[in-house]
Amino acid sequence: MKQSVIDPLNNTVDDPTRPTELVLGGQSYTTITETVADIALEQKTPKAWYVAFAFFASLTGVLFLMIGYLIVTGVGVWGLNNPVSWGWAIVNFVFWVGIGHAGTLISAILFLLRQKWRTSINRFAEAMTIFAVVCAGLFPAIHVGRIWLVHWLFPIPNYQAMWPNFRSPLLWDVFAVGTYALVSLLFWYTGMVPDLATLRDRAKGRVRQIIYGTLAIGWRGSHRHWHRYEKAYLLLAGLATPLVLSVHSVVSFDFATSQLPGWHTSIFPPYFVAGAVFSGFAMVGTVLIPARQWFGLKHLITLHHLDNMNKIILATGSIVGFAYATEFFIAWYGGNPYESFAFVNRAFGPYAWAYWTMVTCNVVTPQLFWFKKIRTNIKVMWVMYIFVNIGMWFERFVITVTSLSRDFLPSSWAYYKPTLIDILTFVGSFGLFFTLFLLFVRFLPVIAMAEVKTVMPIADLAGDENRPAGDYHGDIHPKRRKGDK
Amino acid sequence: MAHQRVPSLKDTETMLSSLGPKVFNACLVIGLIGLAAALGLGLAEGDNLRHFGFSYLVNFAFFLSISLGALFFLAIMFITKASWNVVIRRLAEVIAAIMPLLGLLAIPVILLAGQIYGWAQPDARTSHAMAHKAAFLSKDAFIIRWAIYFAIWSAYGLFYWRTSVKQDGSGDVALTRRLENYSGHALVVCSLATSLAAMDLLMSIDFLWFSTIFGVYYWTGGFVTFFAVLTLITLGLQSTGRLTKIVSMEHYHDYGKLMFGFTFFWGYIAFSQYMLYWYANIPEETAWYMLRSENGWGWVALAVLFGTFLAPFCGLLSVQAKRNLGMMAFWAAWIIVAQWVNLYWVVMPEFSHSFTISIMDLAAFFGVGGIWLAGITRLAMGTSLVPLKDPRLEESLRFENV
Repeated sequence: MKQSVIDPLNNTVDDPTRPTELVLGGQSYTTITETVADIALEQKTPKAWYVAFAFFASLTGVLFLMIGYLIVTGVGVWGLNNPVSWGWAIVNFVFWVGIGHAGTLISAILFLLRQKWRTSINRFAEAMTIFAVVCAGLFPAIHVGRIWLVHWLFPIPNYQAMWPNFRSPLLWDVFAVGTYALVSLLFWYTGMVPDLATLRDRAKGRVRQIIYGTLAIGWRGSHRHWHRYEKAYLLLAGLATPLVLSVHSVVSFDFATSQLPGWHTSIFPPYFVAGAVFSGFAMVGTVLIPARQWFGLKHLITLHHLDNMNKIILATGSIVGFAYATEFFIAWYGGNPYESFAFVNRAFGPYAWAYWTMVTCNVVTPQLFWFKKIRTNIKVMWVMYIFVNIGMWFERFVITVTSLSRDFLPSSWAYYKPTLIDILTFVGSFGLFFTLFLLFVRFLPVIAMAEVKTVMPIADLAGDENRPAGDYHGDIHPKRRKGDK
Repeated sequence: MAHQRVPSLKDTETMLSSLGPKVFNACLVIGLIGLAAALGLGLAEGDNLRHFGFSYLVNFAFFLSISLGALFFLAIMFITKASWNVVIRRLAEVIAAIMPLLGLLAIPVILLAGQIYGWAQPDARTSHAMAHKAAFLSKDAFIIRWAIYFAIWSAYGLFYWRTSVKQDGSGDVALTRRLENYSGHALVVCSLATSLAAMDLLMSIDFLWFSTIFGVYYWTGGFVTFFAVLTLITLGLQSTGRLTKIVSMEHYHDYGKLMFGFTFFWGYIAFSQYMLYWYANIPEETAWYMLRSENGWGWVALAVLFGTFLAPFCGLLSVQAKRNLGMMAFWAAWIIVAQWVNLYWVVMPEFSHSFTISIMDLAAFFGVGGIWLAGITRLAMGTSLVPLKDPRLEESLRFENV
């Protein structure tokens, strides 16, 4: 490519005559292994990592302090009031579950759609999914009030022969999110097994060898192993694909099955899913950009990858905008005065500030991604990701709070204000998320080495003119071992 | 397989040649006879063509949805820079480029709007529920909107076909880049137009009922039907020795995956609408489903549930089914019939509250379908059935599912 002469790390040039190179900088299998495995094994932990870890671990401490205070005192410590019985806890729950969607989309749907570029970012996204679901799961659990009875959420025949209400979407949530967490974890772990074996084989200390060895469950890389691994991966991808749709659809049912104006509308399920993917990609980008910078992964997570992610953000952001517009249109078209009031109230009522924050961050600013200059500008796109994160949190706030705060009876209208506890709990959940994330980047293979190797040109037996007919053996390109110049 | 020789366009026939006029004439004759028969039967009923209007609407909406499916397929393929589809893309291009003809076929719907649409009835015009949207749901606004929809769809449909045909001669890579670049706004503009058009075409028959997901419901049905039609057309062409070797089992496997995937997606969308309305149980919303579940229509509803969703879902689940041409032909035909029944179930209960089906529906099906297919054949006759110099043609020829 012409462009590569100017900037060897820019592979965003559109050339329909050949597939885009996904791994840059003349990499071989060996260098990929070294780059990724060394982050976990060889590199000295950077000081910045300790600083960041101390900071976010303290925030996690704040989170658990707040939860402790909540349990000891009761949900009165939150800003909930009479009409607004669902506040930040639900908003945060939906926010975090949504963020978890990018992982499964990338690992399952993009896999089935043969999007090879996913290989460099899927490990990050899947890890993020798990951590986001952990954060999400906290909120409904602590919202139940008597948290010592939280096991009643599960359909276990308990001592009073009481069953949960199977007709409640809140119970469907327990199943949907539970299934999602389980399958995502399985997917993440299954995909990681070959890479964990690589870490095991390269680890120096006994302790590390034992830990990575246990996690690698005896992987030796035999043909039989690979055969079964790929089969399992494909099956998991097929099973996880409907989950991408189901989880946030069920979350949307929490709202949409009600009769409340602004909550009850048929487009909610797909609209929530699009919004979830939107926010998930933004969060992946938020953590991916610093990570690729710090760990020197720019030749693996290339501009082309980020460009593609930004296109998905543009597409899903536009779907979300389309849903906002459709809701508004039908609120008018349907002629139900309560429904149209709910929407006018959102846009021009006491929460107009939140509504317009949402519209600006979710619909207006992502439109800048129409321009390639912006899609490939690292600093600008990172700021855009932050905007999307803010916007998607506000979307859930607008949906939850505006519809509740002004219900059918004007005498009970009230304005919702979060308390300090609300705010610290939410901030603390970021602490938990980033603490887990920092542990992940420090100790696990952050890029799916085995998968990235399959999308390199040297893996394409038929497409490589340097390979003589019948030569199906590994790494024949210019070798670079440690110490070579 | 990697070690086999990659097929080339020389291995097969890529022109319709003598087959073209035969299919064109046959379709045109069937179409004209079908329309004439439907119209004759409609006039014989002496109801100011009310029954004919509904019958025609079902079939117009059906074939329009397939061409819309083709248009969206092209936009998505270009925006994702997909390569597998190149060998069959010309077929999608002609199905989408037929939009101006569909615009002409929309004229009877507009002329008979007074017979079909609830909002056009004199007593509805003065009702309280109509007051705020009387200007929107009026004949003038209806005509203006349809003109806009077809201007948009025709412009994009013709753009894809013309640009691609142009590349057959020049092989200019810049044309591919233009096709990719235009697909972004194509998706935005066509999504808005299609969603609103679905509400105009089908939802506004009952002007009191509303559903925010309705546009997606109509679009998804058309999208899955498009893949079924594409499967049958490809099989048909191959049985006459055209496109053989270059369209391989790998491409059929992808058709199968897309049919399966969007069958599931259709079920998901239909469920989202039904379940939420059933659960909240608000009379103004459930009325639409009540009408469609009583007086015999309930059986049709079940046929829709099993026909469009459960049966093809099970049938297309396995790899073996997707790589078996007999099975693929069967399920493609099945989906076409089932999606037609779905639209019949959406439209017809508004005409008759108790179940009805007549020979006129069949005549209108062949009428609209015959003319639609004749138009598509006419477009396909002039050019190769494969984009000859697409830069991704080579990739598409050697495509394999891994």
